[in-house]
Amino acid sequence: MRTYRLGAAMGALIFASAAVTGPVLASSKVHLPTRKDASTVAPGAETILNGNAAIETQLPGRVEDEELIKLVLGEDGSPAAIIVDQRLKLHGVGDFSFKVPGPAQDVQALPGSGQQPGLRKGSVIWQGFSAGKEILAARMPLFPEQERTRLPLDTSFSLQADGKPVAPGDTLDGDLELKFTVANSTSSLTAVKVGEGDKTELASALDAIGAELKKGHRPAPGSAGIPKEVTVLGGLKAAPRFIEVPFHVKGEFVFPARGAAALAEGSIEAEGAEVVTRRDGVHVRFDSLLGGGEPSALSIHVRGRATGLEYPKLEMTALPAAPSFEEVRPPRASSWQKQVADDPGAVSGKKMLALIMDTLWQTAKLTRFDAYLGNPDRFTGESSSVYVYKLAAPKVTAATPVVLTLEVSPWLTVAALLALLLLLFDLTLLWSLS
Amino acid sequence: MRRVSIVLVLLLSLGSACSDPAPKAGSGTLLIVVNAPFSKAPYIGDTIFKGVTLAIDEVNASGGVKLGDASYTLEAEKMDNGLSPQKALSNVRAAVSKGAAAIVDEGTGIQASWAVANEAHIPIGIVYQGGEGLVDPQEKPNVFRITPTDHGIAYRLAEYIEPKGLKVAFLHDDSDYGEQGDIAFDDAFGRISHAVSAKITVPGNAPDVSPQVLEARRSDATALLVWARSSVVAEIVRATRSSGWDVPIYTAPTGEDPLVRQQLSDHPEWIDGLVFASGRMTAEKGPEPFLNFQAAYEAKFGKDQVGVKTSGDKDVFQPPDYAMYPYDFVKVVAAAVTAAQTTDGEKVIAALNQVDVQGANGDERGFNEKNHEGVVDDDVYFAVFHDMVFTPIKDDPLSSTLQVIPQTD
Repeated sequence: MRTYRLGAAMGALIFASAAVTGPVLASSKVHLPTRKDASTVAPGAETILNGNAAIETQLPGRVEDEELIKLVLGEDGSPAAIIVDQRLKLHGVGDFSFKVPGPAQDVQALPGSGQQPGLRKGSVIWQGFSAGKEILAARMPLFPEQERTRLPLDTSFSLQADGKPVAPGDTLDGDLELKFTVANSTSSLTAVKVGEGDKTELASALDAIGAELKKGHRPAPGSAGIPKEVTVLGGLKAAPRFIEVPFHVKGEFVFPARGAAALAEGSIEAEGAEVVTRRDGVHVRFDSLLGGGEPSALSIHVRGRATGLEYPKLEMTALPAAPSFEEVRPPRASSWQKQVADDPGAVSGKKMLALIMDTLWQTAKLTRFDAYLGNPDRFTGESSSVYVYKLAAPKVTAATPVVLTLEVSPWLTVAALLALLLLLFDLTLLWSLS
Repeated sequence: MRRVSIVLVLLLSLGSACSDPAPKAGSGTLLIVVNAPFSKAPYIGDTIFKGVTLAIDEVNASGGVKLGDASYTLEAEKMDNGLSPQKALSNVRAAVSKGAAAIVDEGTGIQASWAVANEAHIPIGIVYQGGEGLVDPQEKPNVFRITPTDHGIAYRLAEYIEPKGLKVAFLHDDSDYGEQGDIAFDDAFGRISHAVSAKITVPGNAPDVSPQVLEARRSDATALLVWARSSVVAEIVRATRSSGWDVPIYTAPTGEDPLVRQQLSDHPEWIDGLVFASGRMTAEKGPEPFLNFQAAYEAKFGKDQVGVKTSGDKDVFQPPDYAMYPYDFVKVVAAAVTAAQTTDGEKVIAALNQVDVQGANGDERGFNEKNHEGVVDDDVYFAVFHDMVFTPIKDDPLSSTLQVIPQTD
């Protein structure tokens, strides 16, 4: 018992002395994530996967990629059709050959394209020579079922009148209820470096990041005062975290004027959206950032009383966007540097580093959705993608053509052939004997 | 008695026609038929056949086409089309009856013969004629082409000539080649009609082309563009230069034909400055692939002597550029059979849309579901003659990147 008490006392003494002087931790540097880190394509993958059907990427210089992704939503709000118009601008003199993986159902060149695209098992192929600048433009319908898991947003839609579903082309009468949800589905597991950071250094980095986000810019390590790496005190480890790519969605449902007049005055209620009545109809407008410090989903609920209302139109645009400044707002002070100076105990270096990593990973991964189909110039090429959503138009059913078929018994066919052969034989025999 | 014999022959023929056609080639052999104008245009026919046989030798030397445990060797057979569509069609029927695995075709008569081959699921590779309408993956799924297209040549000529501010008089002959060239010219130059001073047809059997050249001169042309058979090209150059008209002359690929130099060997200076458009012999990878191909070609067949000399008394030989295309087509067919792992024609045709090989000049050669053209329009280059040999020109972005291929020892 005496030995135990002495040991415990000695342990307490050692611990107390350590608390006074502080542990001596080795420091190291950690690289802050950029869009290059978000690329997951291995070099030589094309040949590994496809052997003598491979088309390795060959480019004369940098490539700019502009994509317009047009989605038509079905009655339940899921994609019924997806068509991508891609315009690539090649710079530099020399040969080019590359594949846009798709998979595409078909491909056709758009006006202004300098080459005709090829198609191989869903992949679009471009080959040729650039004399300095070359435009390659194509329209590609994709496979909606396959794209559902890849699209950045999940959408669902329902429209009912008096509790019954309404289909495109139907007229709405009675108590109208429209529900529309758009949710960010970009979340993916990422190995994020975590550790204890130097608060002063991290505060400076966070303020620089925040300044960029306030302007609506994408923060990039190595520019605008954001360092390429920061100091980590002690150990550093990689922790799997779900990182979501922010998307800015903006759009409206429009109930056309004829029907809008049939919406009882003042009977329209909308949650998650703003209702604006104009001469051409009733507009239900919404504008939100999904993810990046804001809620990941937006739900719109419209109720009203309708008489002879037409099926609504949807026009929605979604763009990959920088996170919100709210993501990195200091908890109490006007800046992180002031926060750390005034009240260092209120924030932890570990949390500050985690915040930097999360924000920069969200930004780095934007590149994946900036080029939905893909820019062959993965690291230096600039890309932009705009996602446009519409509701499917009412289908026009063509009259089914009547097809007449004549069925002939196989035995009748054989008999006819034999008769013909016999006749031929008789005729030739007669001729030989004449 | 004679009539009875005839009857028996008829009956036997009828009997064999009703039974399944047995493949004429052996089960270990794949037959490649070469349908080309060996008699009427021997340079073209022979070049195509040499390209095919060189490729066949290489495939066979590496063990043939392997399908599982079996191995197939390739063999070639010549069929002369005499530049006649009817003869070409008859040759394709014969190829079908022999169970050919593929047909390498100069292009004459394709509009009729393709359907016969298609019914038998035999792929056809056009390796000389570049005319529009010959290749259409939807309508003619079994027809492929490896040679520069007329469309590509015409557009490249337009893009090269127009910025020079020249007014072009376009002369074409009334051969299939010339008529197809006229169609391509209209398509390409139709958008820049200000650059065209005249369009003139040269009858192929004209004893003298001076009237047509004079017509071109009177149109105030500042350049001639000639799309005609090589003999007509030579006549037009002679008529132009002998009249003292020093106008720049541009031609379609036939300008490169040795016949032009042979026929003008008495005035080699008249060839100087003549520019022709053709498919490039080398690629960005450098000249090594083509030089290796050329070495193999010359080891097997010897050099193709043009039959003229330079001013330094050196014999000029022709690089085997047009042999590249039939060579490449045979290699692609072999790759397609290997990929399909069957000799079933329908499956081989489908596989032709999916495979690539490295071509003789280093370019990737292959086709796809939307495009059965194996030479991209961009791959047309321009070369200029000087002292009986030609070099890539320097004032065109593509041509200026290409290396000079030696044509003398």
